[in-house]
Amino acid sequence: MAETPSTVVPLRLPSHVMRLKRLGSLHQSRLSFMRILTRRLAREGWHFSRPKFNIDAKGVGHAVYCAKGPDRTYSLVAFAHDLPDEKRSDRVIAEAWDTTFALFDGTPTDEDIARLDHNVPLQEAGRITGRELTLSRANRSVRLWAHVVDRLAKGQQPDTDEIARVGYLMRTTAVYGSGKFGAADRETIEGRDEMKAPFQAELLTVYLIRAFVRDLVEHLARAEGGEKSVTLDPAIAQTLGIGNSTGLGMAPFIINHPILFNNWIRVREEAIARVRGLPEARDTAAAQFRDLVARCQVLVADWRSDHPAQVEKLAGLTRDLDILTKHVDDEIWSGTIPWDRLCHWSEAQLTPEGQELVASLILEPHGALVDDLADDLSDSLETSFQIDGDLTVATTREQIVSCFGWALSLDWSAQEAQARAWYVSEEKLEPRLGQRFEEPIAEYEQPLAPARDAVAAYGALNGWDKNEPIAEFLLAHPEHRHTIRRAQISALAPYSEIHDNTIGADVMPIDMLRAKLSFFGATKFDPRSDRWVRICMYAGAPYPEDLTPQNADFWVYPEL
Amino acid sequence: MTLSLNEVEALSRKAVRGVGLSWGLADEAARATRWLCAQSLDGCGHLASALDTLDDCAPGDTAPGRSGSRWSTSTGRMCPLTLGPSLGDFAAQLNDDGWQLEGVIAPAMLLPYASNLARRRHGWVTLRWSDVSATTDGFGLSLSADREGLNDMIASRVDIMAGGQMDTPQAVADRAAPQTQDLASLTAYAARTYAPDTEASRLLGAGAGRSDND
Repeated sequence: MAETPSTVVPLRLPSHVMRLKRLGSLHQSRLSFMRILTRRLAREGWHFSRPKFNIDAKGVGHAVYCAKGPDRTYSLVAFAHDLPDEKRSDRVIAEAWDTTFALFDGTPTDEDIARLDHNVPLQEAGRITGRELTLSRANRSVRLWAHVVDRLAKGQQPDTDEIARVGYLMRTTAVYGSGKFGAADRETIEGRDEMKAPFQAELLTVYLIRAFVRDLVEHLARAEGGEKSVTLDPAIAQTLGIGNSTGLGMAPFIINHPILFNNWIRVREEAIARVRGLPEARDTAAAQFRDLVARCQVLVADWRSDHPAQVEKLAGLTRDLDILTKHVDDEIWSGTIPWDRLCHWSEAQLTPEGQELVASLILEPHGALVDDLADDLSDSLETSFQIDGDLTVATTREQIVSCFGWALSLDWSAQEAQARAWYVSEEKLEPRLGQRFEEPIAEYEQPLAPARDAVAAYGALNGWDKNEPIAEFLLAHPEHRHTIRRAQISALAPYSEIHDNTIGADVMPIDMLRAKLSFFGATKFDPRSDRWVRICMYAGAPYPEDLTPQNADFWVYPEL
Repeated sequence: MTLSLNEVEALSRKAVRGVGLSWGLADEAARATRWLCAQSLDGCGHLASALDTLDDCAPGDTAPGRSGSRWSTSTGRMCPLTLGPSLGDFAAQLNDDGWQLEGVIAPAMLLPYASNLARRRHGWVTLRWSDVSATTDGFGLSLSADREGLNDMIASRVDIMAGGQMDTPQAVADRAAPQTQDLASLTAYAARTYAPDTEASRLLGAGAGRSDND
């Protein structure tokens, strides 16, 4: 039975949570979308099968992996290709890949597979249909792939240090869903229980890709080594995740979906506040928390990056975990509202990385108290939100001050305040972040600077009668429409806006990427520049055939 | 080939911006186009028709003004994508006189905005021009049997009023099948939002310049 909070602990303020530095320090939690998925698959006893594996000795062919739930079957249709090394690129703009995939809604016929064979390997240049939910591709980690095939072919297991150094055999470079390239719209599947939480189709795709990748590496080792070859030690296989390279294209998402992003943040904040309000810590909860802190030390020790910003953050996080380990061994659990005190302590003692790790970790022993919040992660309002034209100019000004007050005092005429501009390039149709004052891009700017635009709208409202309905202002100034919309959204969704300048000289897009990816459940963020990041997904997760309610949840944390 | 409605919306948003309307109007025009497609109408065709006319006009010339129940412009041509959002904004002010909208370009594009208006009013709303009579309850759409006027490039007068009957609701669609030339036209307008590449942007913009093949 769920414990009940005794104290109403207020949610952390948007002005605290929504800073880029903090968003760029978020960690996965039990409300992350991958973990919601694996819990469901286990709880509902989903059945997994591999009806086709038609792949030759060179690793070329196709395979089908089915996931059958209580109501429906979803099938990963996987295509494996013989890709020359010089064509392998993780950039989203690549044109050929080691493997390509679609998630089919149901069980594909041979005709479906033939149709997909003509399109899926082409990725953006092909077309899929309303029968498909996702389109994706993955490339080998060249060094680790060769090492693993070579070892298994010789009858040996791969070197675990090599495995730990990379963490995955393949990394995806895009997993498209939500109607892209002809796929089914999210609206056509969002009513299904198993698709209600965000990105479940995309993350089921990745989960099945991981099983395929393991099977493919074993298949190629067998083709090379024959009788001598062995399969991958399941314990080693379980440590392998699927990598992902994520570039700038994903950063605008959290600005373009303010209500959805609000829901993700608000759900996590609500969960944190519930736990902080608990009158006491059960012995089992405190013990589990201590255990997970220890397991996090292993996770962080395996988290590699050579990006200077992340190196510094990791050093801080390692120190934080040492301090935290000592702290939780002390008698901190006996007083009242111990989880709240722990959070206060973390804010005084730890870096933002450490603070956010603590905030995510305190949720772990409290599934019964917080897991129901998963139902609130999605957004049904995003598409139906309408501006209320009756609100007055005075109310609108208050909304802007409340959400963007911090931006009103910024000197927007200074070049560094507007040094960057988000735009889409003609060449690759991908979002880019350019230098406004060095490149001819300003006229192509995307609306990804809500704070600057809010300040402009606030200025334009000067001179308007405070009792005038905002409808009149918008009739005269349609150029401020997106800002007024966002201001009204922020009044309903307090975590909808980033409280930092998204076009300043010092903006780090990787902070936006990390915020989004942490909610997916990604780990081991490894920025490769200020604007793209590698991550790991499902490392430690049981493979589909091994998934049970007992192991479906805490797989993120390495066993000691 | 059919498009997902998400593709329709994404393309429409860029196309509207491409002819010079603000991003906020483009967002709503994209939703509007999607809504038309979801009502089994030719949303992409109606949007392309609107943009073809708007592309020949200065934005200020087609922006609506309002005087009592009459909405008009000095040029006799009114942008439905600028007018439409304001209909919802002023929802509370629609009274028994209804509104008279003069010189509306591609009037079919007003239907989704009328649906927003109906939703704000929690009641039915009816539009009439040429042979078209269309009623929406904020979600669905009911059209008269005669509806040639849906394809009008401009309507000299559209009447909009509260009330109506939802006798023949349109079938709902979850895919769109636009005409090739409309798709090409929207794609061309959308392309205007893309910045031409420069060597500097290639190097700076995407953060490349580092091996990703390991």
